[in-house]
Amino acid sequence: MKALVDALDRRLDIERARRGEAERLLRLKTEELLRKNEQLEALAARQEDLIKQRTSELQAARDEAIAASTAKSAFLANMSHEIRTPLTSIIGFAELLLEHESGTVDRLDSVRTIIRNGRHLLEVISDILDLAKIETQHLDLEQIDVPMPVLLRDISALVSGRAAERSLAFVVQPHLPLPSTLCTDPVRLKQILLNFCSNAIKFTRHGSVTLELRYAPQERVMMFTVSDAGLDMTAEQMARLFQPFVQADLSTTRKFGGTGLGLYLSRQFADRLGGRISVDSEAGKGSRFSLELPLPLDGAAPELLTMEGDLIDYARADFAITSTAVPELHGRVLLAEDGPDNQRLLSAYLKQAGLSVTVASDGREAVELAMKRDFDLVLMDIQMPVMDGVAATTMLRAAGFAQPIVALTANVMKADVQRYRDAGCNGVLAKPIDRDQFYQMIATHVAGAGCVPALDDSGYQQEMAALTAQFRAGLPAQIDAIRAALRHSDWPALKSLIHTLKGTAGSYGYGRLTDLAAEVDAELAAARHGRVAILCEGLLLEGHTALKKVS
Amino acid sequence: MSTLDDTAPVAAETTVRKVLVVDDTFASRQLLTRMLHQFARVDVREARDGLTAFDQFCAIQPDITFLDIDMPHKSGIDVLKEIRAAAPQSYVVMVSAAASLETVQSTLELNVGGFVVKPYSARRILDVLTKYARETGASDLLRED
Repeated sequence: MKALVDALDRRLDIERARRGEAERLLRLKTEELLRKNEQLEALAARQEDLIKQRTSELQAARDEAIAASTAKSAFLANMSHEIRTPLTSIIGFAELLLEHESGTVDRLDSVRTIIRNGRHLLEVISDILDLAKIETQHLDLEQIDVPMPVLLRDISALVSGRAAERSLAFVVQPHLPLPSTLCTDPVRLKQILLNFCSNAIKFTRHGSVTLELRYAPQERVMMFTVSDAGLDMTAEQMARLFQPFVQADLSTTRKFGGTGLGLYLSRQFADRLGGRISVDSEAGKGSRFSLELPLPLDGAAPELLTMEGDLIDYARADFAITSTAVPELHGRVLLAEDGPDNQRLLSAYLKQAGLSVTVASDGREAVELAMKRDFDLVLMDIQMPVMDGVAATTMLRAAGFAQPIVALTANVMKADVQRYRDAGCNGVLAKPIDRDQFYQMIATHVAGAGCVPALDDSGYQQEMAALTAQFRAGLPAQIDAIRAALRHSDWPALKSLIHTLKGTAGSYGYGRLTDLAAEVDAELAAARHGRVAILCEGLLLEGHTALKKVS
Repeated sequence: MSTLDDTAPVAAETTVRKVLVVDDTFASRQLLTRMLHQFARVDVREARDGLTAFDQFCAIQPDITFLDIDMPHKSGIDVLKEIRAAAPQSYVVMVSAAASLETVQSTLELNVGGFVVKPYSARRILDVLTKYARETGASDLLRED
């Protein structure tokens, strides 16, 4: 009996131990489970956070994209408006000019309006193209030495007119010493300064706009500051200014016009030039726009201008807007230009100056005409179909053409200009063609009226007179011979006679005979004897007429 | 003691360039020859047709050749090719009553020094002579009068 109880007790102990073990394991496992659970919950929470974060990031990006898209849509709408508005005036006033027979005053005003709007449209389009170049990384900057007096003179010339239009004073204050030359892109630099000044003028109702120039020799930094007494701006408005497509206030866009691009482009240009733009605006005192332009730190210090007299170029500039003085010139010009409107326009300019004009519509025609006739000057459009201006110029120079060739082109970067000069061009005119510069360039290469022509060779003239007389004397015999050959249908003989006449008549002033002989020659070559007969009649008639004329 | 011999000829400081004019038309040859003599210090010989032109070229060895393209039996282009094969650097000016782009281009490919269109223009003749003078440093070629 006791053994059984003992055995049962032992069993019980074992069971208890096992249970204890099991409970212990359970506890452990439960703890482990709880831990894992916590970890999973933490992970889930983190994932939640990440998701939230990502979502808000995506939302922000989407908002930004939408904002950019909206801004771009607004920009496109704005640009469309900026382009169509001046066009409306241009087309409208032009139509008005056609219809209205009212007094002279109206007509002049209409014309001025067309010109003004045309110029503004040009600015808008230039801005848009600049923007496109920047966005597609195609903006190339020059590095040219610009003399300080020239820079000042150019800015003054550009800005004074605009200031005067709004009865404002424009003052340039150079603080000496200043560098005598700046190595930069003059076009872009002037664009920035012009933008500053235009804005200042636009937003100032009365008073003056001032451009100050300062130079810090230690740091080698050039500082341009334009001050006005116009709109005050808040910090927020100032910050928005340099974003594209946004003016300080939408209401200002409507009131004052403009592309909203000017300052954005200015900042882009400034960056590329290694400079910096900053704005300062004080309540009631107006705004100051500054451009800091560093000069290269390596190399010698730039030469400085220290006296007022050094800026004399600038001081003497005539700021008034003068009308173009048309020079009086003398000669024959070949105009190679494929645009019919440009053909008409430039022909008109040339004829006004007393020049005779022949027009070629492509490079091929240009080469053929330049070789055949005597021109004093060739105006060569670079972009032409069939054969472009560079190819035509190269070919002409290779063939021994020595008269001046001036390129007409929209591309006037240094590299392009060099390419044209290498091909053999003597000069380059930028499109759109400025009338003043056009006349200046032409006058450089063509003799003025009243000048003695280059070939004043009386010995040669006498020689020619003698030979011409000789030719005339022999002409009746030639005509008779041609008639005889024709009557006998002696084609070989006729060919020989025609060939001779073709090659000589023109040299003695009987160009028409040469042309007609050439036609007969062509028909003889094609054995179209019927046509030959008819053309010969014409030739013989011309011959008779020529002989009757006393030279 | 130096003696001055009055009868001694003055040393020629200027060289006279040899020119060959190839053209089948008498009047054309005559005119060009006279113009050349008028403008430059040259000795001009004439060849009347393409067939004999190359032989004449070899015999005369001109500094400048004026070569008419439109000749009946053998064109100036063919003569040019012969000349180029024998004398690649020789200065040749092509002459033609017509100046189609193709013709000009093909002669330029054959390395001509110039291309002149008939009727002759004094200015164009002067231009090609000037070009020759510049390229060969012949500063005394052109007459000043």
